[in-house]
Amino acid sequence: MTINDFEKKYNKEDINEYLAQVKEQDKKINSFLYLKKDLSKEIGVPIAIKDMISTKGIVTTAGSKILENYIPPYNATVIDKLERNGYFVIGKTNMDEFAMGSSTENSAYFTTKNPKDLSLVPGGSSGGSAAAVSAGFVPVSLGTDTGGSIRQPASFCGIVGFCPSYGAVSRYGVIAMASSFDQVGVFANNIKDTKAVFDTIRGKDEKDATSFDLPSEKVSESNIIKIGIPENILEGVSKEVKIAFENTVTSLKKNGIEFVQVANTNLQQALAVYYILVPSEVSSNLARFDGVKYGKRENAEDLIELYTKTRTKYLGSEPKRRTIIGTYALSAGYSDKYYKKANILRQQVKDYYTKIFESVDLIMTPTTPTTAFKIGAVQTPIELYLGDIYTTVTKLAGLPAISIPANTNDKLPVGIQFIAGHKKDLQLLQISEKIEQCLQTY
Amino acid sequence: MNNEVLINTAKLARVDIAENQEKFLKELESILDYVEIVNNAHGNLDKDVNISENQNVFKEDVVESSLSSKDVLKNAPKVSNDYIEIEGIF
Repeated sequence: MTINDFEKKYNKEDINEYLAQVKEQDKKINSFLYLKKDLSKEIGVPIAIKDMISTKGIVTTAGSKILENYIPPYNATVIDKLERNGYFVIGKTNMDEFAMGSSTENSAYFTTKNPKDLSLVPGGSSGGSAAAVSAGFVPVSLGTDTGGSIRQPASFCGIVGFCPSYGAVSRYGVIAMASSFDQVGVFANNIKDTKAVFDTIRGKDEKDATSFDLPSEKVSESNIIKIGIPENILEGVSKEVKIAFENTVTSLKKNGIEFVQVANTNLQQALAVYYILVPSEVSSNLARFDGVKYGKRENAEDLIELYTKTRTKYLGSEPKRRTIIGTYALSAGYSDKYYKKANILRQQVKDYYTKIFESVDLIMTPTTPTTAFKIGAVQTPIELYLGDIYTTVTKLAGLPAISIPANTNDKLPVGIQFIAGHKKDLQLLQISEKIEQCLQTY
Repeated sequence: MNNEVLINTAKLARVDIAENQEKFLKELESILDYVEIVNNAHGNLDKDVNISENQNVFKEDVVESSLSSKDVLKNAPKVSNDYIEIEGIF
């Protein structure tokens, strides 16, 4: 369901009937943690919001038990912007706890199912927001992407998922996971709707000093679009992903898009950098959940015991794991070995992309190495982390990237990732519209 | 990583992992093994990376209304006389 479909199908009188349908159908999918009870006073287009984003007066849990009773006294900037510009929040969507995970199975509440096949995960961490769009409950939703948490679920659920440049959208009111990586982005069924929501939420915000306005220059229509494919990029991907990727190249070539091979960066190393820097930032950001000012509290004899008992009881395994890794990586004697070395490599990845984008408009890779996996499939943390190999690397440089569904002839969805240079978000969306047209006519 | 370091680090992170200590140790060891490759890096250890590329962000120093303490305290687990109440620290 696109925004246009929604506007044609529902009018103000039957908006609560629409809500009742969503509520009923979501019993199978479990995409929402919270749905509004009455929409009769709402005007505009419904949007589902990942529970990582603060909504005034609406419980915001970040998928964690530690915030089970937390009701933000203010809106995130993105929510204010949406509500002022023709959108209304219909509800809050399920996610991996504090956005740590790739399946929503790390939610402290329940697992969301993939609308394309209920035995599969929808991906994560923004799995609820992806599933709500994929199931046709809402035309658009917001997610957050720290290492792929928008693009991977978009790929698994067969929809568009866009992660903007770091700084293009305000993070004010977004619960922090890893502050130099976190970014709010959009799920939709097409590029037009993605752009409509992105144009509403983007821009400089005085409350987020890392935010900025994007330059608006366009790609000239007469230019031949040049896409770089990093060498050996299909190493280790599943057969389905390989076929979808190659078919996409073929159809884009037919439409006059030019392809060149470009150098690859060391993806294994980039993933290692990511899994040092992110836990380091996590250990700092999650320190605020201590049972003192808001959220859950366990009673104790003294303050240290209060912190420890509260965090032990209400934080899940993955937040604990990352907090400990981060504390370790930042501790005296180890920060040179891990955190600082990782930062050197982060700069090298940034330089690598700057160089590549001197000669191509976009880089194309698969979004994920495989299609959606089974709910309950047992994986070690490292196996799960390897699923993020194509998405984490762009975040080291804070680049905009989008996952667009390949044409897979009704088989399981496969997303193709297109990456652009820093602050080239509008150009990426402009070219994505052309790519979308090519894939539809294939 | 070994048991002693793990217990110490968890203590600093204010989480108690006694119940799953062995599982945590195994998982953390495998993660640390994996990230060991960053040690190949050479360069200036003290140089920071600026991802948004913004520099010197200023704004006018204007007094604006902010959240009321009543609204903020609504989320506090325990409140007395407009203060958040916690266990004694002495």
